[in-house]
Amino acid sequence: MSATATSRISASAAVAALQRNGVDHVVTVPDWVQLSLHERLQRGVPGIRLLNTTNENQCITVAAGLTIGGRKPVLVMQNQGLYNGLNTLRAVCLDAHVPLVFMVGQFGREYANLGQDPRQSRRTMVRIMEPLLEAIGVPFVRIETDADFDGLEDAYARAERERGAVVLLVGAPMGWC
Amino acid sequence: MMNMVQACGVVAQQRGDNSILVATMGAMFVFDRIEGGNGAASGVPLVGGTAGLVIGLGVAKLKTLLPGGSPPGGATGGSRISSVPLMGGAAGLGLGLALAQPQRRVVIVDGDASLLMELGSLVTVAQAAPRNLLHAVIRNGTQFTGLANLQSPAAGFSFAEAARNAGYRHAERIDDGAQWAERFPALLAMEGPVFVELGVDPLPQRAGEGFAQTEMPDEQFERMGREALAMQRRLLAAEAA
Repeated sequence: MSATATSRISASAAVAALQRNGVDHVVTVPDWVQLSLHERLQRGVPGIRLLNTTNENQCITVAAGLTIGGRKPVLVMQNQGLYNGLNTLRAVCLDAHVPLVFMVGQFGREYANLGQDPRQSRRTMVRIMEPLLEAIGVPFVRIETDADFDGLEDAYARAERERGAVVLLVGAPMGWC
Repeated sequence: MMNMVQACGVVAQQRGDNSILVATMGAMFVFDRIEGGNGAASGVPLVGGTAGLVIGLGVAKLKTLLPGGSPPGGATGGSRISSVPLMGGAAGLGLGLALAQPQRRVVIVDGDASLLMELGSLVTVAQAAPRNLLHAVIRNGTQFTGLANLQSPAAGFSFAEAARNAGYRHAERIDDGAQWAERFPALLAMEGPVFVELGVDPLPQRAGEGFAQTEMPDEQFERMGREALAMQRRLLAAEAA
């Protein structure tokens, strides 16, 4: 029998946080963990344009162009997507210092690991994410409950202040509410 | 086929002060050499063939030596950004800028090998459908052009056809430099996204037996950041004015 999880993160809280912070574009390759957020955005959220790209490298470059042009995007992808976009992240955020905020779903995290340290996950793509971000000097924040979205404002402030990337790691499937 | 000075010179001379230019590395080097202080490559002759290439680059070099001449390289003035070192990034960067600045024309000068790395970006651009975007690709069939001229894996592939199939509003191929100069204003004015595949002769190969490769300068890794910041400040200042 498949395990299910009672989510402590909701799409409505995520959308509210995006709107509260003046985010005007969501640039994305969809993420299983944030499916309910995608569905909500696809239905239409005032003030936020949804931009789907065909891979995560494009998410990063499109978001960079938006940022340079004066807009305020957020990137939404899953952990595999961030691994895919690593060289573009290096070029855009580490070398060119374009400030970007990512919401990265910890796809593949076993439910037995919820509430535990993701570095102890038995799934490689979950376990290596935080050590990887530390290795490349990209700060991250864990999103495990709706209250953690309060960190979005700080994430933008830090990305701007340090001229680089900040990653919000969405640790559990978002509830459909 | 046109040469690189023609391909890039037309863009530099005709794109206009209000536009934004995104370039990949091969084009960036040529823009650096021909643009001069005002970024417009003014006075640089756009003549075909290898002789035309030499004359164009020679005049550009001469201009830098004249009294009041600007040194070549990097004088992007906040209106040009180079996707370096990042093959495949130009289309996405240009798309983001075009969506953020709908009142400006955005011109991407992409490379064939670069675009191949992110061919899906044609679909991404077409889906987002920016009306102010002109996407040109330098089709010279080579990687490390002017250095080793390695063949890029695109023989028989039509970039213009791919762009058309992806959903660009207009796509065409131009091989002749004079025709490119003549068509450019109309292509720039068209409702986008517009795509043009430019048939371009590769720069003459410099590397061979006994050639010593020089170290990549720090500039190569830092300029995109400086250009991004300069462009961001320029655009924000313009919005505030």
